[in-house]
Amino acid sequence: MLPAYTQEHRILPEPLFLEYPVAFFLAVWLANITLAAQSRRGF
Amino acid sequence: MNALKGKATSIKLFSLKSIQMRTFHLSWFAFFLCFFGWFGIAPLMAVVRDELDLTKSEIGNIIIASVAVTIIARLLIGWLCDKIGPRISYTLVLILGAIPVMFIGFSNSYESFLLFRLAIGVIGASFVITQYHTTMMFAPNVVGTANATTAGWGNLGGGVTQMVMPLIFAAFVGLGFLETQAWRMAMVVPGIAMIICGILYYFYTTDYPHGNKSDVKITADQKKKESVPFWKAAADIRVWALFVIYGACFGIELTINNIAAIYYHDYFQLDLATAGLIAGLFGLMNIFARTLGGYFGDKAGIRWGLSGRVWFLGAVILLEGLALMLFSQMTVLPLSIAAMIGFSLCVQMSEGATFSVVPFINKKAMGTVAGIVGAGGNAGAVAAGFLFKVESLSYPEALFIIGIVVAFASSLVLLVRFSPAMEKEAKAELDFLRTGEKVEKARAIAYETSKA
Repeated sequence: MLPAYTQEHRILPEPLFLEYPVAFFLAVWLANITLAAQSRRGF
Repeated sequence: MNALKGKATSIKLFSLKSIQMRTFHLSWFAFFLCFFGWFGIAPLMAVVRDELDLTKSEIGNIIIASVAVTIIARLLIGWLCDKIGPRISYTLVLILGAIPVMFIGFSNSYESFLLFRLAIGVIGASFVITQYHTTMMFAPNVVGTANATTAGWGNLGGGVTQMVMPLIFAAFVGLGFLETQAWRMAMVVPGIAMIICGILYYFYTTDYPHGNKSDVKITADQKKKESVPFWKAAADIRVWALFVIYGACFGIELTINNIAAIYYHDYFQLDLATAGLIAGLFGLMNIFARTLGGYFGDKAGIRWGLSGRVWFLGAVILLEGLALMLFSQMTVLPLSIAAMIGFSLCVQMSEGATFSVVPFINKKAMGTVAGIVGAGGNAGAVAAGFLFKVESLSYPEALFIIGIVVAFASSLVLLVRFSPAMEKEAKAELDFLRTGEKVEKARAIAYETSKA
C-alpha cells in the first residue's frame, strides 16, 4: 500500500520520459544495422 | 527533527567555511586518492609482469583478488563507522592503507605481490565512509546529490591514475632508475599523498555537523535504543535488493573499466593508445553523470516521496540494461562510442540513484547498510569477471548477457518499499526543511531591510 500522498502516482511518474531514451536506443540500433549492412561489417 | 540538526540543506561548492563543505571536499578527495592508490599498480602491470614473470592466469587472480577483498572490507567498515565514527575510520583507512601501497615494491614473487595486492584492495572500503560521512552532513533534500558527487569525483581517481602513474614511472626512469626500481618508487607517491590526506582528514573534519562521536554524551539506555546490531540491519530484504542493484551498476562499471580498452583493440582493430583513450571516456563521465543520478533521485524524492526515489532508480537501471545490450551489438565505431557514452551515463546515474535511496533504509544502521550495498558493487564486478573468463563466450555475447541480467535486476526495486510511517517521516523532514529555508530567507530579507 503506497502512502496517501503518492496515491495519484501509482504508475511510473510521467516526467521520467522513459520513451525518449528507448527511442534513441532504437534509432542507434537501426543506424548500426543500416551502416553495417552497407559496409558489410560485423564481428 | 533532531536528526536534521546542523545538516546542510544546500551544496555551496566554492565554500570551505562550513564543516559540512569541508567534509564534502575532503571526503571526495580522500576517496579520489584511495582510488588512485587502489588502481595505481594497474597501468604498471606490464612492467611487473615482465619482472616477476607472471602468467595470464596469475594476473587474472591478482585482478580478482584486488576487487574481491573489498567486499569483506566494505562490510566491516560500515559497522566500524557506526561504532567509532567516520572521521577516525577514514584516517585509519588512509594511513594504514598507504602502507601496502608504498611497500608493494618489496614484493619479489607472485605470492608476495598477491598478498600486497590483497591488502591494497582493503582501501576500496573508503567508499562506504565517504557515503556515510556525506549522509551525516547533508539534509534529505540534497543528500543524494552530495553522495553521488563525492562518490563520482572519487571514482575519477581510477581514471586519472591510469594516466598519471605511467608519467610518475617515466619520471623515475628519467632520474636514472632502472624500470625494475622505477615502478617500486612510483608506488610510494600515492602512499605519501594518502598519509597527508589522512592527517588533514583527522584535523579538518568532524563526525557530525555538531561535533565528534566522542563529544556526544549518551546514556547507556540511549545507546541501546540508537544502535542496531549488524545482523538486524542485514536481515532487511531491501538491503540485499540494493546489494544486487548496486552490483548491477557499480559492478558493471568496474568490469567495463577493465575490458573496454581490450574490447576496442580486439573488435575494432584500434591501436592500444586510441582504444585506451575511448575507454577513458567511459570513466570521465563520472565528473557529472553520477551527480545527475543523485540529483534526479532527490528531485523525485521531493516530488513523490521515498517511493519516487525508488521508481527513478528502477527506471534508470532498466535503461542501463537496455543500453548495455545496445552497446554490445554495435559494430560501427562512432555508433559504438555513442552507445558506450549513453550506457556510461545510465550506469553512473544508477549508482547515484542507488545512494539516494540508501540513506533512508535504516537511519540507525547507516554504516552497515551502506557497507552491505557498497560491497554489492564489488560482488557484481567479481561475478561479471568470471563471465569474461569463459573461453566459449565472445566479449559482445558476454556483454549482451550482462545487459539482460541488469534489465531483470531492475525489477528488484519492487522489493524496496517503505512503510507509510517512513514516508510520512520523510515528508515531514522535507516540510521542516522547507519552512526552515523560508524562515532563513525571511530573516535575511529583514536583515537587509534593516541595514537599508
